[in-house]
Amino acid sequence: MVLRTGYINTKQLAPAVEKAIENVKRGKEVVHVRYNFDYDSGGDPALYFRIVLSDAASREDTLWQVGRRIKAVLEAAVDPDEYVGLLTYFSFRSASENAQRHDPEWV
Amino acid sequence: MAFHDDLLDQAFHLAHKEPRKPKQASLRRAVSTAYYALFHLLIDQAVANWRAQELRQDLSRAFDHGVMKSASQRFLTLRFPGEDPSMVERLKVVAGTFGQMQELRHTADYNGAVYWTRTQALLQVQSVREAFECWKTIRKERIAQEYLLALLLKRRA
Repeated sequence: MVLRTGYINTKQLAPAVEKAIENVKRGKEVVHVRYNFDYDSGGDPALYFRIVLSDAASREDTLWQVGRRIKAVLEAAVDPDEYVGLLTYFSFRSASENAQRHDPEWV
Repeated sequence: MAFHDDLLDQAFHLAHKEPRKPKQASLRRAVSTAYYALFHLLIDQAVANWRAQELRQDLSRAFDHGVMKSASQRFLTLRFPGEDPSMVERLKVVAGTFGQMQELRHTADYNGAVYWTRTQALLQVQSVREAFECWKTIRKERIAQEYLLALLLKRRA
């Protein structure tokens, strides 16, 4: 997929994204991460991450810190100078929340 | 309390409602309300620079979601040589949160096919609280004031 605006080549970007996902999965906080490229509601090219956290990492008192850390690692995969105009969006679920659902894009 | 603070409180309240089985309506409204909390905070701060207090409400209606998103996106990639890096980082937290929340607000308000979880809703509301905290520490900085101005002005092609 080649997204317009800066001609973002998603195939070129994918390895860096995969590597960042491997990095965040090294700890015990992340169960898995899925992603896709699309256009957002405003028509801008976007990279959507869907992150399933362990139940322990999803506790309210630690959730913000965990989420921020993971987000920073994944965001760093996208060089803003190289992929100008590409926006990144993040959605999170706990493992038990995800287990109650059968949403294909989250599996 | 200011309107934007009330909205943020309300967003937390909605995200915590129904402790066992949260309703989609509560979670979706939590995310949407959190976005509007940040939206109104930034507008409030921008129009506060207008000396004629009685006209600030009129001025606040000139802000446009799309222009604010574009400005936020632009500030994320700008470099600010000579500025305190910690201040720049905090400004980018605010700008990044605004862009993220606007997209999620759109999904929460219009896309019934997306299932929301408490984890997701809470994280988004927490991210707005963080943006509020960051804003408090930078609001008087020149780069923060430049950002407020950029939120209002449509960029010429």
